[in-house]
Amino acid sequence: MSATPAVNPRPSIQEAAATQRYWDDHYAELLEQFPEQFVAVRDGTVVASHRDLAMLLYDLQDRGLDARTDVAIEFVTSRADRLQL
Amino acid sequence: MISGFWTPQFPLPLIRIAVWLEGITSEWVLVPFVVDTGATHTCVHPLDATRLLGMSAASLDAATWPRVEASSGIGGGANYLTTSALYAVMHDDHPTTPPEIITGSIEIGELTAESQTLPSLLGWDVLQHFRVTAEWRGQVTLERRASAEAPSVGLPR
Repeated sequence: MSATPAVNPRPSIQEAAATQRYWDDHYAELLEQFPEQFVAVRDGTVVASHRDLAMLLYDLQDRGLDARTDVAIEFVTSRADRLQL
Repeated sequence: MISGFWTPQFPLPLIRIAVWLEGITSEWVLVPFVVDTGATHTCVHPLDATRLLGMSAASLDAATWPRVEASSGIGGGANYLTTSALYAVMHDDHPTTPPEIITGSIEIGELTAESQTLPSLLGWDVLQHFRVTAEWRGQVTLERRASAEAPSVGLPR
């Protein structure tokens, strides 16, 4: 790679922190409604959910939504507290 | 100071690092990584590869990759695509203090039923450049080590 480009990441740190706050604040209710599913949220509303990530992505694509720029996606699970990487 | 964070629902320390992947991203992309002192190599798993890097599900099929690296872990083996990467580790007062730029590579995980929910992992290929501190549900920090202390070591596969 040539010269290092200026570091202005997308999302910004502030945007990423705001998205994380949304998940933190709404995780319990999302878990109740969409257990063990990937959820896509746009403007505070769940617009798609699926147990399979690829299926969720295809669903978003069919609706003309960009998984990167139009929605925030998270996997909602009751088992996040037990993970052996 | 470079600070990470914890979330209420996830029991591992996280840190946001900007990455630029040759041929994949056209800008710096901020990715939350688990600070994983049990990982030799840094990797992005499918959830972050799709929602943050903008990769498609089809592009995460190892059958389409020119070369596949196999890695093993506690949960079993997995296929990865290795690509060149730049890392920009940003100080808390970014952009006042310039970011720490690390040149290296990153592994992108194949999309499978097992890998689709995994977080991305920051391994020792990047962590070797920093002093790592993590307190349970407390402070998580990276501090750049002096260059004399921190030779860039290419980790064997």
